[in-house]
Amino acid sequence: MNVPSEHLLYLAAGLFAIGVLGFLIRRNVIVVLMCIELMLNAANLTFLAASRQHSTAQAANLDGPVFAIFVILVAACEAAVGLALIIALFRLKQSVEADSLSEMKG
Amino acid sequence: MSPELQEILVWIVKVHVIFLGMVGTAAITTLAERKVSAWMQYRHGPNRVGPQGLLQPLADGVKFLFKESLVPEGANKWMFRLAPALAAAPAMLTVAVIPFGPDVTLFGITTPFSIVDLDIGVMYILAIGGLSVYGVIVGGWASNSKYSLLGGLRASAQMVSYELSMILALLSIVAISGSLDLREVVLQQKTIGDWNILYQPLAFLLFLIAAFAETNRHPFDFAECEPELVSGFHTEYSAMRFALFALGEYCAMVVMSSLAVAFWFGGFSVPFLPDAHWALGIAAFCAKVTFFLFLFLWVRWTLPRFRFDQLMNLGWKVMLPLALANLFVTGAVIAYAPQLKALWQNLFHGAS
Amino acid sequence: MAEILFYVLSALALLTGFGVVLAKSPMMSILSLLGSFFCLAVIYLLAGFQFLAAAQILVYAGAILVLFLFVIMLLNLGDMGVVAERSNSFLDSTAARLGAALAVGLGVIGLVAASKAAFQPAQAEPGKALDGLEAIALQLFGRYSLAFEAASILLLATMVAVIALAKRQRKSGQNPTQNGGRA
Repeated sequence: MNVPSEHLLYLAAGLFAIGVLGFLIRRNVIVVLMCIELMLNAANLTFLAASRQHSTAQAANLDGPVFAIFVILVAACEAAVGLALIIALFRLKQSVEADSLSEMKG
Repeated sequence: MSPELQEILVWIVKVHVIFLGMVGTAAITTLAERKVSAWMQYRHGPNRVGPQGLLQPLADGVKFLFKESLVPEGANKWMFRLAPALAAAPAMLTVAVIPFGPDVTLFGITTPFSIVDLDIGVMYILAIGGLSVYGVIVGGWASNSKYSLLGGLRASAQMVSYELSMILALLSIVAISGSLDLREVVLQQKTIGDWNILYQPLAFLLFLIAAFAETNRHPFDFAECEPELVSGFHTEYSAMRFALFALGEYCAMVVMSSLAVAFWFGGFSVPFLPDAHWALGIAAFCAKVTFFLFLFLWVRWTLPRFRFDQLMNLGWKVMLPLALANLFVTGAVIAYAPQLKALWQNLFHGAS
Repeated sequence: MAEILFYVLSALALLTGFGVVLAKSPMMSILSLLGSFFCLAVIYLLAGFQFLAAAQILVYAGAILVLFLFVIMLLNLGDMGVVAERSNSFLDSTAARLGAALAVGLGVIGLVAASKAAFQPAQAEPGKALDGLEAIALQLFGRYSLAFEAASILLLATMVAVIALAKRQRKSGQNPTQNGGRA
C-alpha cells in the first residue's frame, strides 16, 4: 500500500473526533464506553502509522506495534471494569444513563 | 499461459475444491447424524430418498428452499436476516488456512493443498472462529422472543468461557512446534512417533471438550436445548435461514475436527508411510477427520446433557486452570530442555 | 488496488464510527463498532501489520465487543425500555452543542497537524509484513519486559476488581439466583 502516512493520520484524527463527539453527547454509559474504545483505536492507528513511517526496507520499527498491543490490553481491562461498573449502576438505579450518576452517595 | 494467470486459476480451483468439499462433508454429516442415531437406537433412520436414504441431504435442501421464510412480528428485521450469515460465515472462512494435504502435483503444476498458508494461521483461526458467537447472539436478540434471547445469552457465555481454554490448549502445541503456521505444525509430525498427541494428551483432551462447547454440540448444547428453551436461539428461524444456522454448526464441526487432526494427529501424514503419495495424504486427512466427526455424533447419542452451572464450573474452575498449568509446564520443559536432557542421560547412564 | 481499498475502508470506518454515536439502540452501536474495527483491522493488514490485524479481531471483536453485547442483553432482560435511549437526547442542550463543537475542533486540529507534518514517503516495502512474530516477541520480552510485567499486574488487578464488584452485588441483591453472576 503506497498511501502516505498523513492519510493514515487523517483517518485517526477523524475517528478520534467521532469518539470524542460520542463521549460528550451520548448519555448511555455503554455507548460512552464504546466511544472510548473508538478513541483508543484511533490512537493505535497513529502508533502504527508512526511505526510504518520510521520503518525502512531493511529494518522494521516495532515500537508502534508493541505499544498498540499494550493499548489493546488496557482497552480490554477498561472494558471489563467499565462494564462491571455499569452492571452495578444498573442494579442500583435501574438505568444506564450517565445523568443518573449525579448523586455522591450510593 | 502467464505465471500470474496460472496462479490465479490454481487458486480458484483450490478454493472451489476445498470449499465445496467442506460444505459437502457438512451436508453428509447431517445424514450421518440421523443414520448414526438410528443405528444406536435400533431404528432404520432415513431410508426413502435414494439408495439407503443417501440422497436425504438433497431432499432436505430442496425442502428448505421451498419453505416460507418467516420473520416474526416485532423482530428487528435487518438483524434477523443478518444473523444466519454471521453464524455461517466464520466457520466457512476458517477453512482457508487448514492444510488438507501435502503438495499436490496435477497436470505438471505443484501447489500446496490449502487455500493459503498464513504465517499466523493459528491466530487467524482463533480470531475468525471467535466471531461465530455473533450469529448466535444477534439471532437470539433479534428474534424478539425470550426463549431465543435466553438461548443467545447462554451460548455467548459458554463460547466466551470455553474459547479461553481452547486458545491455551492450542498455544501449548504452538509452543512445542515453534510456529503459528498450520502447515509447519503438520510437517513436524512426519511419523507416528512425532504426533503431538503423545506429547500433549492433556491439551488434546481440553481442546476436545472446548470444541464440543464451541460448536454448541452435545453434551454442551445449552444454546438450543429443546426441553428448556424450545431449541433456543433459532426458535424463530425457518427455511433457508435455519438451514444456514445448521450449516454453520456442521461446518464448525468439520473445522474443529480438522484442527484436532492437524494439531494432534499428524494432519495429512500417513502412519508408517512417511513418503506416501499426496493422494494418500489427503485420504489420510479425510479418514482422520471422519473419525472425529463420528466422535461428535457418538457423544451426542451417548452422554446426557450438562446443567448450565455445571458447564460454567467445568469451564472456569477445571479446564482453565488445567490449560494454564499445561501451558506453564510445557513452557518450562521447553526452556529447560537441555538441562532436563542432561539429567535424563545422567540417570540413564548411572542405571546402566 | 490496495490504495483504493484503503480509501474505501477509511470511509467505511468513519461512517460506521458515526453509526456508533448516532445509532438509536446500543445493539446497533455495537454492530457499527464491530464494522469499524473490522475496517481498521484490514487497514492494519494493508499497512503491513498482520499480527496487529489478527490481534485486533481476536481481542476487540472476539472478546471485548462480545462482553459489551453480553451486558446489553443482560440489561435488556430486566427492562426493555431502559436501554433503548432515543435520539432526542442528541444536540438538545447547550452542553451537547458545546461537546460537538469541541469534538469537531479537535478533529480539525488533528487534521491540520497531520497535514503540516510533511513526511517523507514511507520507506518500508509495500506489501511486506512489518511485524514479524519473532521480532515483536523479542521487543516485548526484551526492551519492553518491564511494561509487559506491569501489564500482567494490570490484568490481575482488573480480574480482582471485577470479581469484587460482582461479589458485592450478589450479597446486596434481593435474589441471588436471578443475577447474572452465573450466566
